[in-house]
Amino acid sequence: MIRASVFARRAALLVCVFMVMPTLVMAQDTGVLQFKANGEDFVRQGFVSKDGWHIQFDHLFVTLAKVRAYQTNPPYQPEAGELTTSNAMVGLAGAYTVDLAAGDENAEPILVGESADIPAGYYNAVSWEMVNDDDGYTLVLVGTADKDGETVAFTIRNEFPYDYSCGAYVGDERKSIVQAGGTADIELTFHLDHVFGDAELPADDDLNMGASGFAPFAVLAEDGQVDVDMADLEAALSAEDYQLLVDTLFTLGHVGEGHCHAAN
Amino acid sequence: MKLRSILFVTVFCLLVAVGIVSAHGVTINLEVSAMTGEITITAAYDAGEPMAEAQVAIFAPDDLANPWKTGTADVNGVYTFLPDYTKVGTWEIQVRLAGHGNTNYIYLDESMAPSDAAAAGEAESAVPMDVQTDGSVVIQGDATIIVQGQTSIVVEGEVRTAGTTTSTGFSGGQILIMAVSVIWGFVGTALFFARRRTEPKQKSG
Repeated sequence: MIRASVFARRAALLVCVFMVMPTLVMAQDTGVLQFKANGEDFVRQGFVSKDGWHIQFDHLFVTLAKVRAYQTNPPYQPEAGELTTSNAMVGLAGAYTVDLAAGDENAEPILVGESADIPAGYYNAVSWEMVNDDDGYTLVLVGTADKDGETVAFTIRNEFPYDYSCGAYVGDERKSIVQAGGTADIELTFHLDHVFGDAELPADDDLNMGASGFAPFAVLAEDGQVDVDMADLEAALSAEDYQLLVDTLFTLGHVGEGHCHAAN
Repeated sequence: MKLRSILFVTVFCLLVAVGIVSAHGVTINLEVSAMTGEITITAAYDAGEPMAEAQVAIFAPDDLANPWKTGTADVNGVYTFLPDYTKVGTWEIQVRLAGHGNTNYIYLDESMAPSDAAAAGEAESAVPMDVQTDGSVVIQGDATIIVQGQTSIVVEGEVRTAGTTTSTGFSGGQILIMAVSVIWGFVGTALFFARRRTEPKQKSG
């Protein structure tokens, strides 16, 4: 009896060890990568457009899909075109509609989702798609713009989809370096100043030269409100202004200050 | 012409340029000096304006989380550094300014490190040397010209020298023949006079 109980205890111990050990080994080589979306202070705190409109966002909805991060070697550079090869890829399943204006003016970037138990390493490339939500829009801007005592409440909708392939994050911090057993984050950044420009920059700055400003939208307001989508804007704006807006919307996607290859 | 050709052969500096052009925003160009091993970063906006005083962060392949070196570009968007070639792998260079930035990469290994001879040559060529618009080369001060390896010198046209040059004007073979001839002349003369002493004098009668 004594021998049987000792044997049983030892067998149970061995079973537990062999069940736990692989888990421990895997945990040593894996970590977690969080995907975050960031409209930066332009969205959280508002800003003044290149043509003097003080813009505040109530909401800024983007719908994201095929959000993926990659370990690439040689490192992917967006100037080379779309990302096609990688050594490792992780990502999120499904589509996500996030509000980049959620929270107060000091809110953190928005957590879109996370991939757990992924290989440790440096995820030096990221890609995502902007896809149509249930209403058929990939991007919806809701807010107010003020200038010289005039207030315009706006809802600007974009039904065009986009594919972004981006290189390594460029910013104050290093991101997307997953340590074994640790958590890192990677950021999908949206530069709304590219659409409206920035009064803090010179008028002839490249950013302002490529931006629409808010005036093209303001002139469409009726009773202090403008609610348009891209089809409406194509009909209402001059061909030049409309094409400028179309071209600018491509440049929304960044990875921090790092640039992306954009297509649709 | 001869002197100019020699100078170009001995002080020629190979530059390997690695450059990207951003589709929107920032261009980072990397040039490696084969003589010194230094890497020169040149950052500019797409329109060509230099990223004056941009922030530079350099990451070595063995520590991607912490910058190996940071600095500030000059007013021309230029920053130069000497990497540690013992850290073999892909180096990452980031340049940022006012919300714009970009990344470029370069693979380095120990074979790309400058040799001591190359470095010495660079040091010796620190003597001021000016290439004139007419193609002439003016060296200020004393200079030693070192030729590493085989050298082919092609002179098309007339060669003129002025001042003092140290040169025998003869090839090695010619010098050898002349030396042997002179020596044989001395030997032959000595033998001739030696023979005259040993010959007996003829008696008359």
